[in-house]
Amino acid sequence: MLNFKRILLLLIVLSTPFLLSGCGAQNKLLVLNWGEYINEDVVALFEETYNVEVSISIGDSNELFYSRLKSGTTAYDIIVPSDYMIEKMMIKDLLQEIDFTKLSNYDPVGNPYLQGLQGIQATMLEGTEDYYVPYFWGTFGLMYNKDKAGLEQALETYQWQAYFDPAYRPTDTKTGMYDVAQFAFATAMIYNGIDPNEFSEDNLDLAFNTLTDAGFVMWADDQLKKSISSGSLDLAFVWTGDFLDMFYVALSEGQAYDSVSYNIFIPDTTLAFMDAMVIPYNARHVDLAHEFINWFLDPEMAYMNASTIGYATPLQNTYDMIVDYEGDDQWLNDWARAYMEYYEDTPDFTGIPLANLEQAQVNSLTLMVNNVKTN
Amino acid sequence: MTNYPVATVEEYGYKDYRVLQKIYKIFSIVAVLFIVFLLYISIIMLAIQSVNSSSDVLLFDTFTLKWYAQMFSTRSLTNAIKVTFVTSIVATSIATVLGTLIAVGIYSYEKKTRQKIMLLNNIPLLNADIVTGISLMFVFSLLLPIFPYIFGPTTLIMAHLFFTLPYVILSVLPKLKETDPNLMDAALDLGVGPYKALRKIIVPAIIAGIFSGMLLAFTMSIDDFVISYFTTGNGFDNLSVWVYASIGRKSLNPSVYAFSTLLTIMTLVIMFIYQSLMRRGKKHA
Repeated sequence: MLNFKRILLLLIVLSTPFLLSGCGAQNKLLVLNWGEYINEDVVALFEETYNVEVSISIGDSNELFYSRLKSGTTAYDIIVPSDYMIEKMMIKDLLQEIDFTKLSNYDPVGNPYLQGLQGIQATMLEGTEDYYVPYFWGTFGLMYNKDKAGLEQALETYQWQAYFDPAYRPTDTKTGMYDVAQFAFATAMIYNGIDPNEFSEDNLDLAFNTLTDAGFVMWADDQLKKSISSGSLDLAFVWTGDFLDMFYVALSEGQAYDSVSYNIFIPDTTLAFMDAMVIPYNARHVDLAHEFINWFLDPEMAYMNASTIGYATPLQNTYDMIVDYEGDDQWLNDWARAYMEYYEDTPDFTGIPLANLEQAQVNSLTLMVNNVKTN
Repeated sequence: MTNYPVATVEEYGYKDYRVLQKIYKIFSIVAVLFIVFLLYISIIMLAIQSVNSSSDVLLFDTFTLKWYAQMFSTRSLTNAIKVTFVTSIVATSIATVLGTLIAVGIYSYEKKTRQKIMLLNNIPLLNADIVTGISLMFVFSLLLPIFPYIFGPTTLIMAHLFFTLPYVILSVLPKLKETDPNLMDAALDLGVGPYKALRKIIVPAIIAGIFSGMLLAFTMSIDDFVISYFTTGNGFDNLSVWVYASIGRKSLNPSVYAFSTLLTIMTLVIMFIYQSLMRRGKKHA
């Protein structure tokens, strides 16, 4: 009798965690997103409308998204990877096609994607468009110090030449480069008029010469924009979204739009990226995931979401709402102006997303950049 | 009588070190202060940063407490903090109860067997976190076909249990050794049942060890990253996992500094309690 009791007790103790794990998680939409990349109020509205819980995990790189998806410990319903990672996931059969008939707000005619974004989409593998819905996109630009005489004109006239060739910019312009080998290589390729994703030994040598001649005084990441704002650097290659974050903070601290000492120039051809929502193959709440994607295709919701994030909205109607603001709100006016200047909606713009290089290629790029730095 | 000059102490070889001693004393104080300062400079910087109104690390703007308030208005951060505490508190309480029982059980073995079991107990302590994390993830993922939602609270708490339990056992066992080996027999002779004897006699005798084990387990659990990183899922991210994922494209939300400062203060308080418990325990023994 006693033994029976003991066995029963043991069984209960052993099974509790599993019984516990049964409850709870079932009716939750599981989202894997970048940090601070969503307006939580918009999510709260979604939760209220559909009476569900949305649980957002965050990751800091596309590679992490991939490994999380691959390990399968959590069946995410929505992931927000970038362009090249979407291609990789699609090729590895990790995604399911999006059923566009379920997206009532999807309207490629009345509310198309912005032209810059369409340019990025055009560079992607054929067939990928069935697997994602764009979430945000952005560009890279050349951030510069407005106080440096002649620099602004040089950039507007010569664009990449002013960045890479000291002869085309004012003397003593201190330039900096993002400390990521692939970025350095890709920009050097754009300057030379070559596809930035075309990797070859010749291009490697060319990039080495270009980068050496450019005479960068600083290789850094976050520090670049801080150095420009403090005036110790004049020109650098940065994320436009990064610049805007800093710019918006300066505006919110009371600086006037034109009195900020730095600005960014977006060349006609530059690197760009797109983050898009995808539904993994093992998602368990496929219908709800579609509703979630649909929610962010609603121009009003996209507007709310874009108001807290420095990257560019994909939707034409949302863009128009931001840009066409007419009123007295200082911030909304500044925002409209910033959007018009930095995410200009024009067919002349070409944004090229970076491809996913093999490890060996990344290594030789890193080696090349290290040689540039030590020279 | 010849008047010999009175010899001074110096002539006997005495050297007056009083001045030097003073200098040494001052020097040692300065040196200790300097070393302590160096040790704690990171924590001090963090605390300063948590009251800095500018999110720029290089620039101290004005004093503010807004990050402390914002900590609970950023939903994902609030959620992470909640998860951290839920996990740690649940795991610690289970570990304390189980660990005490296990320690009493181990103590009842003869010395040789006890030593063997203690070796097994120490392996999870000494094993690299990353090995523990990956192996636990592997074991849990074997259960995925039966329990598709197992990753999350269940696995995280079980994993925390896995590495906190040995700490409890390790701090309870020495206390048991200090008690009279005949205590249990005496209690049984006087007519209480074995469970009651455990509850009323043994546990009060080792309560200081239980508490110190509990506090140790709690501090271990609340700041764990590596094991949590591999064993969590379904959106149940604790703070360290959240912080790690946040440092991506954007700079860190300063509310993290605020929470870290609070956590440091809390850890200090716990360590203080732990110390005083140990001291009180020594006096009684």
